[in-house]
Amino acid sequence: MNKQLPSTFASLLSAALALPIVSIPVLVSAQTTAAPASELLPAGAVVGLRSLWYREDDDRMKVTAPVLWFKTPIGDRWELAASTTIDLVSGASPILVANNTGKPVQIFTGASITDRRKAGDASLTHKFGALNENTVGVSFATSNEKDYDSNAYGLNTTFDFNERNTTLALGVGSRNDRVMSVTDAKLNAPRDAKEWLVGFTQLIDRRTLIQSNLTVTRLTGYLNDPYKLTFSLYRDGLSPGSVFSADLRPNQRDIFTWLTRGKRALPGMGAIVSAEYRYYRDDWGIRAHTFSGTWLQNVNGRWQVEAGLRFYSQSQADFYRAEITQRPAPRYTSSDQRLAAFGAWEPSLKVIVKLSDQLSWDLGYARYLQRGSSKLNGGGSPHFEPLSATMINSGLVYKF
Amino acid sequence: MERFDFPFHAMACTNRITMFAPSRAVAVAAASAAINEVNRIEAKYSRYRVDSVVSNINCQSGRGVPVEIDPETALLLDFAESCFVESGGLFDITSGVLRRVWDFSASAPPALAVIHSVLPLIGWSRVVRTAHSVMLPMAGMEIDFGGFGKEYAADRAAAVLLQHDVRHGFVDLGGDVVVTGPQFDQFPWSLGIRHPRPRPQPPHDENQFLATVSIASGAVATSGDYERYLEHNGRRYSHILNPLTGLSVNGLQCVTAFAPTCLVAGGITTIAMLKGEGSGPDSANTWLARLTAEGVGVKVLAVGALGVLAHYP
Repeated sequence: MNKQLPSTFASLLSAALALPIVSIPVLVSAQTTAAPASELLPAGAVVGLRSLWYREDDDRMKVTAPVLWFKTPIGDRWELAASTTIDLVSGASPILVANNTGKPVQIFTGASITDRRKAGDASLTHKFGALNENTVGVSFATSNEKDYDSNAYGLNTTFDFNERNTTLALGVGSRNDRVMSVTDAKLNAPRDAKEWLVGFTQLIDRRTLIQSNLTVTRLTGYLNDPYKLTFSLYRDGLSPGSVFSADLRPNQRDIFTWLTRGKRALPGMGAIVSAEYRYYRDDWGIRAHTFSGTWLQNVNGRWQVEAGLRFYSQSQADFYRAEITQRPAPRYTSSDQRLAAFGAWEPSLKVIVKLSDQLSWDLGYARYLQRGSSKLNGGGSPHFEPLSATMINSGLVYKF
Repeated sequence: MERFDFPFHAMACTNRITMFAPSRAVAVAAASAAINEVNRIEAKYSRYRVDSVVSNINCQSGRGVPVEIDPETALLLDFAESCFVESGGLFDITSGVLRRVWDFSASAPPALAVIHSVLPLIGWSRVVRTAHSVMLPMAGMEIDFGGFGKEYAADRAAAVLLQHDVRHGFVDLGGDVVVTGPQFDQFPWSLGIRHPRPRPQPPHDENQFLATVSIASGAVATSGDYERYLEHNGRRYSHILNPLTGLSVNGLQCVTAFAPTCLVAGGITTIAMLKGEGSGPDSANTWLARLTAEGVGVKVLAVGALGVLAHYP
């Protein structure tokens, strides 16, 4: 109504600043702890939009995956979270590994794959206990693409004790997938997973935390790659002179992983460092180690930079072979490089900027370098074809 | 850089200056200069001291003689005038006479007739002012700087700290806080805002706080109805008094404001408390929403009569 008049704030501030005092910009974020009726407002709700671009060198494969997600408290004791994503995949996938040129090489199909995966998930968590210190939650996730459908269900719970310095987490999950093929209309086979998790988190002091999780997973059903083929010329002069083999793997895979991570704030340097080690083994013969570390540096109240380095190394599955030399051809065989012995390095850099108290934006860059020669202690699979990829990841997060 | 804490007592409050400084000597020099400034302002404007500027003005009320004032006092009166105008007359530094009839240690509120007897002594618009003088037209009229003296002292103490290059520190005068900058490692300071109705037997300390605030810089002031009040026949009469009616204002339980200066933050909280809760154009809710919608970096947390917390913006 009185637009021509200076605003209330401007009047008060100019009267105040006539005095010998200093105007100091307000940099604050309020976190209400015990709002008497805060359940009327969804303060604490978070909405985010994120996109990942993955591009293999030589444009072999490109993936764009935008994700929309949110998380909101419902009253004091409930929290709802959900996300939805569409992955757009384009490029060529190695389908055939053939050795007719003298050594096994990956042959890419001429036709490029383009696929769209639609996925969504939701979880509901209930907090309980005198201080809302324990939780129990259910989750559901679904995704589908033209040759793969997946539905997953989870149940998890956490308990805080030892004056909330220790958290015990327990979880069970189940996934029921269907594997199909665009080249084989008859294929529609189940692939299921059951997973059990036990973990604990321990606060060592105000600035240090360690976490350790054990996960056991059993996959059953159709575990082959329906597109992957291996064509090998025998070099022993006998007949038949070649073998053409479909990807065939055992129909059960038991996986054990043990993840341990530590995090420490270095307030003297305005930084948070973290380190992580993950051990993996399965009954297909793969043993893997992942080491990773990050350094998150606060530049000022608005800017943060995070540098990270990850190293991964695995041994090969018992039935992995890039070429078939045995007669008769072994029952189980796969030339899928993901089952080979290799190592990979992944350096990354991320910048996070707080645009306002509510809004932040981040941009991450990572380079992924997979090599047979990078395997820990040597012994990478022969004829391993190097894979290099670039990942760019950017997100907006809005907090209510 | 090391952290130093200087607790001190002034203006009837427990206060604190905290800072990061390269040495104890540097910290002591900065803190003592800031504390001296707080003491200077208290001595100059306290209504409890007969030699204060305020007492000098008040004791000459009704004599028809302009009292000469120095530039600092004149500028503080200008600020009081801005608050008066912006609050539609609710923020009135002549309303202190109501304290003579409202005794919050008594068991009942004063009778209406008693309240009405002092209303003629209230009215900032009747005070005669020039750039160098002030005159209270009626005998018995009083001004007091209680509504912003502590906030001004906090702003001045912060200005002194900044003159000593204290860029990682804060001054806290009984809850009126000015933060000159974040901790040395750039982490913000953590500030607890008192809950207006703390639970009697808290299962957890946090319940004593309405909010925990991460603040890297800026000023904070809080006004609440809990500082002084009396209860009579199940009704709560807070010390927030409307100068136009002389009655206790009921409505908001507390208001906390963040602004670039403590004077402005304090002005906002006091005006909001005086306006009280409601949804009309004159309510604190409407006023705060409009004030913070200007995108000027002011933030307000307010707790209404029923305990509902609102964030502005």
